[in-house]
Amino acid sequence: MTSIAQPETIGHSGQRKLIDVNWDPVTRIVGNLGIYTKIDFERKEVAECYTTSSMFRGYSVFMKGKDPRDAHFISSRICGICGDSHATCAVYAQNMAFGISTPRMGEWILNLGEAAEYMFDHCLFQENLVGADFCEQAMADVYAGRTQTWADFKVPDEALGCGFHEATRGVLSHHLVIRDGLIANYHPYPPTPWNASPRDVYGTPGPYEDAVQNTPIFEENGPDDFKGVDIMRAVRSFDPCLPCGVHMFLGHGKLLKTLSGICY
Amino acid sequence: MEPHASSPAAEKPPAVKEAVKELHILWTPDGMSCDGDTISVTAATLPSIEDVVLGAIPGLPKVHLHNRVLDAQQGGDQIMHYWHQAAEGTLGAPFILVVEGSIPNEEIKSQGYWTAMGVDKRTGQPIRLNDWIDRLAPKAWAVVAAGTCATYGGVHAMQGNPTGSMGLADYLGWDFRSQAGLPIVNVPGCPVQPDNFMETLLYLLYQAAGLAPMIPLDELLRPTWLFGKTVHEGCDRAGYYEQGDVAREYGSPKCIVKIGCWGPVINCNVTKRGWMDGIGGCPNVGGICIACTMPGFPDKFMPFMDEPPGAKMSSAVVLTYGATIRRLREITNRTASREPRWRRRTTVLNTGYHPTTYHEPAAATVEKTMVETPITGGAS
Repeated sequence: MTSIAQPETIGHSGQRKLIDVNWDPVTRIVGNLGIYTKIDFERKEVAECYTTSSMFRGYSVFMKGKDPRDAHFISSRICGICGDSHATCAVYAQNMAFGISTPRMGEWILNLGEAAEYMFDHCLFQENLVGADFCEQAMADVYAGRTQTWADFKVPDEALGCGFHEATRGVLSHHLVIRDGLIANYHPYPPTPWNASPRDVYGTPGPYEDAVQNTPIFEENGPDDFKGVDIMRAVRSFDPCLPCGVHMFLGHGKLLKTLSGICY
Repeated sequence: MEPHASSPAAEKPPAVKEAVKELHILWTPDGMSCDGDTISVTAATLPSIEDVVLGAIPGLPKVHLHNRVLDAQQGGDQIMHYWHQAAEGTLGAPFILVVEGSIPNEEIKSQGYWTAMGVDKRTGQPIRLNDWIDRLAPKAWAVVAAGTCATYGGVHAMQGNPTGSMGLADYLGWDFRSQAGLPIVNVPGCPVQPDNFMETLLYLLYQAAGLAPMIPLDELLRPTWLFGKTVHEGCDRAGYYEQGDVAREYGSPKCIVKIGCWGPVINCNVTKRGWMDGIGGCPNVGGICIACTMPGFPDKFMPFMDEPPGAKMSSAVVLTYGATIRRLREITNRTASREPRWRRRTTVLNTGYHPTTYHEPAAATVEKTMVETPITGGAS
């Protein structure tokens, strides 16, 4: 049984009888996701879908003022299933800010680690074959004597850095501003906040909402014992991962404090 | 945070004494968390969570697990009605409340909430995690904090955080007692080590079944047998430290205390236990210990990649002493690495064999002696 409220009749859409059905929280994903729908059980169709997420921790807030070298240790705690992707992306942002690049052997190790992350995180991926290729090519570097895995660096007083990464659920980017040798601004933009985005100010549905709306329902259960497996399958096909999902802004024109002039 | 000074043994007598036959585990990852402790525990093997839930372990109560990440249902009321029943006291069996994630402070603002789980059908508003804890903790057979966020606050409670987050014992009180008279059971780690959590849960289930005495906890409410030793004491790099042979840069197999490892002063068994099925364990595989099991984590250990201040003095002593010991051992090692001199092909026997008391008889004499010598004495 799901939460089902009293039917509501909408006049302008041709007297459809819409019933509120919600799943909050959604199971078998990481993080707090709520899916709220209005279902037309007669036409077996989802008329409307709204997403929500119910947890805010404030990584971009509490990472300010910390040592930039700690960015990957902290940001990897954003997510319990794709923490490794955050750590890797943070390393790319650090490298750019520190003005260094990972030596080839270090790159192999990083990529092998990410391959392992994919196998763990996205275990249906057939990474074993790709992984074997990586091993063979990395051995060529060892034979050539290119065994250095890391580059020396100094934390600059002022710097910018960003990292872009194809993480398990889509494109992930981390953006770092260093002032006085400390983190002045840090913003991770993971894929799920884009995918799970609720409606914008113009009423445009986010990707989950858009995918669920107008989805035909094949489940035969009626409103009384409705499970919602068609809807949940559509949502889970995005591989939702919500701990990173809630980002906040203050609305139009309300400025609390400026810590860094740069954010990109 | 103030650890309670008294013994973990309950002052008041346990309210539930009879053996528990059936039990629910209400496990919420909806504290200020990343769900990483639930994900971590799926890797456990000693025992696996599947074995516990499927009844494969003799002597345990029948276990019903309710965790939204691992639940076969779709969500919403399909899973939340167990939580409502537990709050109303109509669940029909005792329950263990497992909390994952730190507890935000909902008292520091006039509106909104930091984290919630499920929706109040009457008002349509989200039910705050803090409300769930207030409703369920006093009714729980036991309360378990999984991971460093829930135990002591962790990353989400770091300096400068906007949510006022804290550990479960900071929220409920360090002298909290469950229905069965247990203190909060803390299993820290970021995330919790899979087998550490399942072993603790297994212990509690045996205790519920009446097959184990009160779980032994230290003053920080951790199981004593899991957190009584330091990372360093189990580390496979510790021998390098003893000999004053430390890594000065990354990528070395030697002791990494000079490049930021906190292992010598941190309570954690990951170096002994490994991570998954005995494999891994942060410093064993090259990762500096960032002290993720500790109440002071993360603030007291940052910046992580600098040498711990306390390590400067102790390593200065060890490096001098250890370097001398290492040189002496190198001499011994050179001796130990050579075979004894008599092991080669020559016409002369150089083994030190001296036939002073035994003369080799002729073959015929041997036969005769064996036949003619009567067996005398003996007990047979």
